[in-house]
Amino acid sequence: MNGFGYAVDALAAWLAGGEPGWIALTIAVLAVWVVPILLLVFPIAALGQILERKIAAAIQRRVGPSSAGLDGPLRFGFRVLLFFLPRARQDRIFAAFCNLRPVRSLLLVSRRLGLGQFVADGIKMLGKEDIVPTGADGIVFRLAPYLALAGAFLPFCVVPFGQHLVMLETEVAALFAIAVSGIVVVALKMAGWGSGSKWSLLGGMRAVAQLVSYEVPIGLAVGGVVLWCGTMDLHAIVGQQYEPGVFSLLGWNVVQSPFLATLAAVFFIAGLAECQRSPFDMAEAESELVSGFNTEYSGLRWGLFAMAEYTEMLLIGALLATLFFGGYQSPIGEEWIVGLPVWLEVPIHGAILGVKVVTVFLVMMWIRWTLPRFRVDQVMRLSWLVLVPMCLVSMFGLAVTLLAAGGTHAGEAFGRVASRPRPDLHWLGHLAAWAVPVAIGACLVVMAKKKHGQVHPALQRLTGGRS
Amino acid sequence: MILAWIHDVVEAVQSCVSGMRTTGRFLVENLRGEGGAMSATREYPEQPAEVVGDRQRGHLVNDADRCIVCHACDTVCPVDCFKMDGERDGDNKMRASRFDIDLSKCIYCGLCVRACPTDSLSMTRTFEMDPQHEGKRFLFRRNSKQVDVRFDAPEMERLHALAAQPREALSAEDRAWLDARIDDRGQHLIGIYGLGFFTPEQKAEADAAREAKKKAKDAAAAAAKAKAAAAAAAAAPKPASVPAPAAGATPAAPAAPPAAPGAPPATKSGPDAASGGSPTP
Repeated sequence: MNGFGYAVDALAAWLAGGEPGWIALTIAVLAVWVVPILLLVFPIAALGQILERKIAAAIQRRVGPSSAGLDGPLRFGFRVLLFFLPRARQDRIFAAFCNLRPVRSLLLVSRRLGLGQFVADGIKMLGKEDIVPTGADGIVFRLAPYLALAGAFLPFCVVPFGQHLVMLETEVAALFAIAVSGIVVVALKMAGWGSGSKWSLLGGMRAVAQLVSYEVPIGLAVGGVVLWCGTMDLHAIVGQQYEPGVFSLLGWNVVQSPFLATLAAVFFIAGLAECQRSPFDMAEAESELVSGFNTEYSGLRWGLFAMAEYTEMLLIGALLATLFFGGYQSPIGEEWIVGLPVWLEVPIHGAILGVKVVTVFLVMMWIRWTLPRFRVDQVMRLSWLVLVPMCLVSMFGLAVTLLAAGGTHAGEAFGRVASRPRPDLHWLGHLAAWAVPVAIGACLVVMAKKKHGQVHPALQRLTGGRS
Repeated sequence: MILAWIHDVVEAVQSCVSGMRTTGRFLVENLRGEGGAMSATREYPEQPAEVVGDRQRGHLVNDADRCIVCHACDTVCPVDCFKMDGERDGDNKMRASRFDIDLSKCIYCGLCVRACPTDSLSMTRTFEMDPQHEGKRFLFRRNSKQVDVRFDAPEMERLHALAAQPREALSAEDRAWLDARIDDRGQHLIGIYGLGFFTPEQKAEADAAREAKKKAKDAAAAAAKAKAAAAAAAAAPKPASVPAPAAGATPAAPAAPPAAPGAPPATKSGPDAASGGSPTP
């Protein structure tokens, strides 16, 4: 056990044929973690941009990228594969291949979806001049994008992608994720400061103020989950959300208590702010700050920042899924997956987590193209006066629920999903855990509405026509 | 205070949800292709675009059979996009041996069409300029020298005949000849095959427009004449010699100059052009 997860251990042991040395271990870590993450997350982040543009277009009733297909990359692939043939011959083979009916229709679809756009964008970005402004602090300016990317990627170490796929199984995984993603704050500050431009400096300052403020609700939201689960180990938290039977959905944290659901919402909102997504994109506000800390960056460095932003969106999605939505577990029963051999189980679990992450991703885009940007003071107000109190109340509520539940019970162990002890709630208890807070909340809302606002017509009728 | 806070939060959630519902509806509608841009947007190069409006100024074309090489268009053109040469034919009439419209210069203002005394210049309603489009009837400059390439009538015939055929059907010689003159990849558009060609439909349309215009002009002239006569009759018989030409000149001024030089060729080459135009394309 080297702490790099079961898959790494198994591969290293197989490579070394016994006790793995550091070479075998390095190769195994590269093969299991570094290469797959680079191969998966980079294209996903790149495809995210296409997805974003298409969704933005659909929401704004446009068509979006619709011309760049995968023909170009495919032709390039043929050129590389058939390098020994003359060019005209390569082209003829390529044309024959493209004329096959399924290939042709697929290419057409890819063109309609604009799938080739990210390749074109990438090449464009690589080809751009790399400018370091005269007034910039060279080292800081150059270092910042890499730090931002590191801060976005590192927390993926502790995210469980499957039963055997956790890079770093540690007891303090949740803390690690929050702490390490704090690097991004430093990176943005460095970018703002190092650029030697007032727009960048203002953007960097805003970014730091915003990120530091929103680490608090994120931390409190994670704290609520930790309080409920009694552990900071993300894999254990996933294991604890295991529920035997077809309705494994019911084991997810988000349905355990309304307070956890509130925390999930808070985590999502604060996560939006953490990735600098609209409506919290003050730090790069195009209309005020000419894209803030990004202003002086061009070419690949700018691309790294964009990549970091998308990676961080994926990270928020993954953490949200892990903490509140059952992690890599399927909502329709877990037994049929857990029993499978490793090579089948890993991709299925990974795909389930992927679907959850992409769903969060889509909602983030939906929000981005719906809501306008907050003012600076509004952002601060939202964090300190709304989200933090909500978190505190929820944590208090969770603590009370735990007290009322009176103890924990160990779940059934199944496969490697080690079921941790969890709050011992009878089904009546579950009902009460939902009904009591919801009833209190509804009462408060009705009172607030009666005092401060227009009462909904239905409620008006219910309360005898008095408003 | 707590109630105010709760009220604020509920309001915020409600307004966010209503906004998201609106955009969500747009999203779904658009993805389904009902209403919105997905169905309203016409992706022009792939899908045909419609001509909007009656006075669309599409291509500038010259009906070479009517052209008398008077340089009126050249004079009035603000960007100097014409290059023309003329020669006398058997009837001692001026005919264009070369008429190049540099379409990369042309700003489609239509001044030349108004200036043209024989109505040989006209603007079509179609505007397809895409060299990849099936009706490739455009001439491109590959290098700067080629602007000065002169096409005489037989060459134009050949060019048009070749361009109408699918490329695969051409002989190697024809293809080489064509390649020296047309650049599909379109560096620099210099004209619609120099002398100006109509498709049969365009020809019919231009002729009809010309007829209509002529009819309107005649009607206007007749009306003006009748009015002038009436005015002259109404005024007095005694200063008849002085106001009659003046009254006749002012309203009939736009109609008179084209009528004088335009009448003989218009009447003469009208059927001439129609018979000569139909076999050419």
